[in-house]
Amino acid sequence: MSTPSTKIDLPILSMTGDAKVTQAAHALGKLLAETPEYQAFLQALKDINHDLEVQKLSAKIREHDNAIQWGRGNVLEHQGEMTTLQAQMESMPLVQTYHTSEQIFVRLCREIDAAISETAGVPFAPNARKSGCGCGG
Amino acid sequence: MNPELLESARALGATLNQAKSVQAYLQAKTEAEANTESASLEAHMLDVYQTLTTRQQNGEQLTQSEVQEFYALRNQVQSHPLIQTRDTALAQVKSVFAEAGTEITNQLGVDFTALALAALEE
Repeated sequence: MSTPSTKIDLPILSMTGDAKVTQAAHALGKLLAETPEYQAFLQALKDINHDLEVQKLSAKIREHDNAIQWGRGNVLEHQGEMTTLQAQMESMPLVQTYHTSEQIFVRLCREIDAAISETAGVPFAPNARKSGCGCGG
Repeated sequence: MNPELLESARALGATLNQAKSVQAYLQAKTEAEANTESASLEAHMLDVYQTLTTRQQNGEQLTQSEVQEFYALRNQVQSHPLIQTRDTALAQVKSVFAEAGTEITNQLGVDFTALALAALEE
């Protein structure tokens, strides 16, 4: 008769370091997605993406941008038109709401990053970027 | 920030801190900083870099030999064993951090690290 194993298998304890990191990051992402700041940002993003006026202005801006890229027409005229169209778009309440909600969410992301970095002992966001320079601090 | 979110951020930080790659990096960083030779060599390189970029920003044209001297100094720094060890360890840290960042991003549908690094409008 074999002796029953006394080892209790606790998944969290048997996880590798990387799996623990993934799980902790997953939990944080899930909580962050539930915050009012994120929900407001997401809603504002959806609102501008679905707004016909924004779509129309964006299409016009792209047309001028393409014209510049392909050397069609007068560059200065295209740039002037683009500036006017961008100003027109920025003045829309929907777009202003988007920028405000984005700033609020950015602030929250920075606070979260600071909390992760402080506990990790290494700056998080600059070193989590897929490319570019991130100093180890 | 709500306490649950703060606790979760700290929990991720603590898990990252316990990762082998992070511990190896922190150890390598401490050793590189404690070693007089590597620390002074790197500090000197940063000083030279700062001076050269300031001069460039002021519109001054750097000579070819100045640029070459800087690259030689940089190579010397990068080939120092303690600095090499630290930089190799940092590359491992970045790989783990990138995975964590991607996991958060996947939950949001927007790039978390880009947002965390975005400048705030005044």
